Amino acid sequence: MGIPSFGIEFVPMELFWKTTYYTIQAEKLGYDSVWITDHFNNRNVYVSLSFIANYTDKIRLGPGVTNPYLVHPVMTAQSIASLSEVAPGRVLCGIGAGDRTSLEIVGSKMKNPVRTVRETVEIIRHQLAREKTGYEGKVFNIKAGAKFNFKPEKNIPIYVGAQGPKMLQLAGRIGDGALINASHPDDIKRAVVQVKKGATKANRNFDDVDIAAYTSFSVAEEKKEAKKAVVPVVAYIVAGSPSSVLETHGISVEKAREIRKNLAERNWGEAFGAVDSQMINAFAVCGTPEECVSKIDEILKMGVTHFVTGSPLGPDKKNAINLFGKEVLPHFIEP
Amino acid sequence: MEHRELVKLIPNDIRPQFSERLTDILLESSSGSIPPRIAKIILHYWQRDQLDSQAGLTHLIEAVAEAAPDKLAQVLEEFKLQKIAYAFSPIWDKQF
Repeated sequence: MGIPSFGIEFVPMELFWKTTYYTIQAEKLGYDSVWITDHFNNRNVYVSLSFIANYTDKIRLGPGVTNPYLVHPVMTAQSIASLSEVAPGRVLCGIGAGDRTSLEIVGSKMKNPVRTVRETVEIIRHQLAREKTGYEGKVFNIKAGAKFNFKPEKNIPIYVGAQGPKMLQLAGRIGDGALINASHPDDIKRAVVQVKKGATKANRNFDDVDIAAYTSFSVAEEKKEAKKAVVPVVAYIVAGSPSSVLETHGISVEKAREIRKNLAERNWGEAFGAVDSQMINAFAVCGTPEECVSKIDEILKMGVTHFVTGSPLGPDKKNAINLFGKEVLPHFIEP
Repeated sequence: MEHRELVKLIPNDIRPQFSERLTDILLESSSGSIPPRIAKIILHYWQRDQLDSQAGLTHLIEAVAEAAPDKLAQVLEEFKLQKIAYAFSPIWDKQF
């Protein structure tokens, strides 16, 4: 096992300068990548990324993840190509099917997600290569000559954001990386098997695929504080998880239904109050730095090469980034 | 007296903690809305580890005075910089 990469995810809910401040902090502490989520109701992902790119030198950066239902693949290609002018050699691109609920709010339907993501990845590569020919897919059609008027960086790694078996296999088949949306070692183990299956089917070397665990993460000096911070995130994950996933972790489907109902009715107290330790353990990496080291160690043993600390990070972002950078990360990168 | 002149009155040994505290106030303030011009300068100094320099502190103080003036008074007192707080009062009177 080589030295893994470590990344951080930000939801651009805060002012641009604050997200950039935290990213500079992460870069100083040795994080390798920063991923910015793409939701229509938060700040724009590419504005956030270009602002970050201006104040950082090493950290790799990209949307984590954007989706082809709200943003056409040629526009995603254009955005990352432009970003690579600001941050040459540092741009990454995470593509996923998006979140069904968010898409429905704006009247967009998640149709044929695996096929759509596949074509998206192909179109982005097609555009970055400035191919003169068109692209004829089942979902997208690009006419010949629809190429950039500028010369972009060709090799921008594309990661496929995945959770279900088919999307995970697609990541193995065509992705430079897989962004596995899971936090429990057992879920990650199952996911890695699928990515490997996809890579094998495509006659690819599995080692060429960067396996990233995109986790819900919370660290604090006190376990209780770390747990408290992650509860709202876990409540939403439980509410959105299919019964099969809940049952795998021994979580009551009935309890999950209650949480979903309370979230929909904005009964936050009831919803968050119903989140228990079992749910946190299943859907988050959470605890003191020492506990996080041991959980990350377990996850890395599943074949993960890139560990991403996702929201909420901890009760206090600045402190959580410091704790991770100073007390967790050195366990994995120092000889 | 200008901000920059006032910063000279801050003893060197407390500058790192003082700049850290001011940064925390900005990050924790619910809006944290400081003029983009100052935000960019703060990021510039932060990237270079110079927020505790005279120039870095000058802009941090300016930012906190803008985003959370009540907190600035509080933190000056906390760091026993009443002299500076006193010197700041004409600036505050003018600004607010």
